[in-house]
Amino acid sequence: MSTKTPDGRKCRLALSAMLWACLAQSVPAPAAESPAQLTAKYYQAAKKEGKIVIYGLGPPFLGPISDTFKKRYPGIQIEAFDESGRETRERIIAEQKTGRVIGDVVIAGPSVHQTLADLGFIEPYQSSQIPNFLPELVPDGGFASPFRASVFSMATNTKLVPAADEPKVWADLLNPKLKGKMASDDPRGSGGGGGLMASLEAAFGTEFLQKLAAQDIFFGKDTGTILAGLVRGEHALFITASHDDIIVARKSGAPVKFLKPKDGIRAAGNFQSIAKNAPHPNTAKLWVEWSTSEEGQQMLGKVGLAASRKGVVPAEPEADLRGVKLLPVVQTRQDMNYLKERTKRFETIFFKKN
Amino acid sequence: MNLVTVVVAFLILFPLAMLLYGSLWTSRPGFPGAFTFENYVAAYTDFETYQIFFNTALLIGAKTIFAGMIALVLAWIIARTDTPYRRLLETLIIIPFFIPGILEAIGWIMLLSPKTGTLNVFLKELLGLDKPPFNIYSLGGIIWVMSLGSVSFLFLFFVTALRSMDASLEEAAALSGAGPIRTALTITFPMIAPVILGASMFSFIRAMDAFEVPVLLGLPAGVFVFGNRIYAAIEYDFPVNYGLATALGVSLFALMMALLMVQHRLLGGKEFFVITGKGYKPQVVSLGRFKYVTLAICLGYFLLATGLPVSQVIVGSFLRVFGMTQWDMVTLENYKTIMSDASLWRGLTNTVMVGGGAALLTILLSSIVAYITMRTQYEGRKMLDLICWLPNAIPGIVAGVGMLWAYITLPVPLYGTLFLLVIVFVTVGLPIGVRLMSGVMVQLGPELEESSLVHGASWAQTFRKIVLPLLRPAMAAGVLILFVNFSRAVSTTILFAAHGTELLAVSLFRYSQSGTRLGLVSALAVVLTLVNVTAMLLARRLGAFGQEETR
Repeated sequence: MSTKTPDGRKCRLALSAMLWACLAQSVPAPAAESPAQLTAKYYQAAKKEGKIVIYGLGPPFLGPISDTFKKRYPGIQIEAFDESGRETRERIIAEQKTGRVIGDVVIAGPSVHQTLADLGFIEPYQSSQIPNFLPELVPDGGFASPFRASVFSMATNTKLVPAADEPKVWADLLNPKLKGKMASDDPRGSGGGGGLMASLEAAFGTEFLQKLAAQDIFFGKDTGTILAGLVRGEHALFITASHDDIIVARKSGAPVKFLKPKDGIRAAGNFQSIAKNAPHPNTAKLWVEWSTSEEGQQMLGKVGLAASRKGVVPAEPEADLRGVKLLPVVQTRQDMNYLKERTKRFETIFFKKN
Repeated sequence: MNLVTVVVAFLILFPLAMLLYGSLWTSRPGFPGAFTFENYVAAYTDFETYQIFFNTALLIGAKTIFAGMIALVLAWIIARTDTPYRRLLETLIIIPFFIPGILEAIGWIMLLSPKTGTLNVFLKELLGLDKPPFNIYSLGGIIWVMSLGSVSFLFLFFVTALRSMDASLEEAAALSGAGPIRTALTITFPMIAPVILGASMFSFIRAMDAFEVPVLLGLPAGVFVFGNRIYAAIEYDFPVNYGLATALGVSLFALMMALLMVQHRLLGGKEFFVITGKGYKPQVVSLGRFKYVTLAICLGYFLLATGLPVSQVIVGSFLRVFGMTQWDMVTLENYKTIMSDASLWRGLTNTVMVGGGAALLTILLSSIVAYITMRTQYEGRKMLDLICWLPNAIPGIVAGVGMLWAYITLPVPLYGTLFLLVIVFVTVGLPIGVRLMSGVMVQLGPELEESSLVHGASWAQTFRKIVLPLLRPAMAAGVLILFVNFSRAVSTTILFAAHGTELLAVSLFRYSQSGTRLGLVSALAVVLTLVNVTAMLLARRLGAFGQEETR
């Protein structure tokens, strides 16, 4: 398979492909045992370990998921540390480098797992449940497993943007009336903002982004500032909003709405992997198996996250991808150079003043 | 004494050396790479670096002048006039010293956001403007918030100096017919000019360390100063740009060293960090009815620096959705989360335990260093003093990077332990601790120690049996002052706080970056402020923060 970036350059290198092929070969084939047998085996060993430390999962989603897991597997505690993917990446690197490994499981976007795998800081393991997942939301390379879908699209402040004025397609954002009223996550780097902008670029061309840049967009380094601004009415639209942030805000009573334009939204894989020399390796595998199981994914859907397992219907409309057109997802996980070039390109489009 | 020197040198010089090494290395900490000057070449061939120098100079220059003037007026009102409720006013004025910078920044975002800031909207309607007058996401916004925050710091120096100066010249001026304002401008302020210069220089230099406020207000607007650019190079640049972070860090260290030397020259080697002082009864100027104007000035400052921003955050801490001030949004959920969330609870207990423990260790080590440098003939005492002074010139985020490099490459698994946090705090706290204890040691007569040494006790026995008991009250106050500093620290510790070693201030900063937790952030900020104000009140009871001597 060969995905092309907008500038036509192939983003998969032969060397990477060979490396991943080698990694894939080193993964223990789980086919010999059924998922039930595997989890039973891991649970037996996990009972001696007693707990698991997960990086990249936190409140408000953690509580109900953790409770269900603990109910299913009594005696196992979940400790989680929620931070951004880039912080998790740096933390794992520091832990691995010093040999004091604390985190067992890393939940993050593809580029984080890619960097860690490149450095040899991941214990290759893939869930036995992979065949039940949407193929486009399954990581390549055999060293990580799917966790959920990261769904990004535009969101509005409903007090400022009545239903009749809601953008129906992405091109509606170019309406002069919206100039100075929109905010976005900084698209440089590997975050959600960059991912969505890359999808928009792939779907509508670089020219669309250039026109969007002329709309005087407020770029925030952190979604906290932007979301607070959206809730208060500082911004009418948050054009790179994550569905889970909007769910939490909406359920709290904030006047926000997650929009699904006719020409597509972005849904990309959010993956999980096990740290090399994880202190609780069996519990980590048990977690990966459970969180990718029917029960685990149903639980994810129940709390409002977009599950990536086939047939799981999420409880919240924002996470429901049924009947929704998806924007192209430029595969970045196996080519870090692509991300560097994209960052440079977005820097020129959005931040260089003429 | 050699052991003390080795320990101190290791704590301070090792991270510094690693920072320098990192700036000359092609790879990330502890990874294979090669020697290079490329990081400096890249930094200094980029126009942005010069913009950072310019912005930083403008920020700290404007902030120091603005804050210095306000602090001087407030200090004069409190120390030298008969303005009513001065004791209460003094407490109100120094409160911002104990408030986390992040709380101030969030409060001012609520007040002066470009379109919906409460104050902006109010002023727009009041003045009939087309658009709101202020934008907090700007260099001006950073200067404003940081100025208000540093007034209390400068005030502490100025008020102590005004209370300690000889009042006879002022009395002469008054007898010659000069009014109180003229006397203040022509006699009082010129007399404490060295303190004004020294403290302002200190504030100027420390402002280069600015972190939370430039991160929260500067990054969204693309306004970079040293603190937020170094942070962004590590946190946001893709790929992570340790080269730029360390090259800028070393540059900033060199710049701060140069400025500190200028300060040292200007002040003839005097330090202005003595917080306790001798008892004086200063001349109090009778202002007549004008005293109500001075009362209003003090209250006005309190309202601007504390009342307005803090009230926004306190209200926000009781809301389900931060920024939606409606009755149906009121909740105690944010405070319940602090109590029930294991990670946050650990952050609170770690802050108290590690911050308190590190403060105690720092003061103990500082007392030993101060004793060696001031009371012994140890050959390396000047070198020891110099090493302890060095962290003054290392901004928090730079120190953090240096220590991260240092302790990652060390073959001892310290990373991710509370012990490493203690080491980090002791390292950055040493300059404050040593200056504090040296200042106190000056006031102790040497007779008892000499007697002890004459009777055959070693320096260590003399220190333990004679000096330590005499220093105990000052040490207790020092511990609390350092604790307040440690509990607010974000820039130094953000790279170290991990699972199990959470710190409240770091969680506060981290959560402020996430999408839906500003209510929780507000509640955390309120809790942290309460912890700090409690420490402040305790410290004041022990005579710190220069108040009790005047009553």
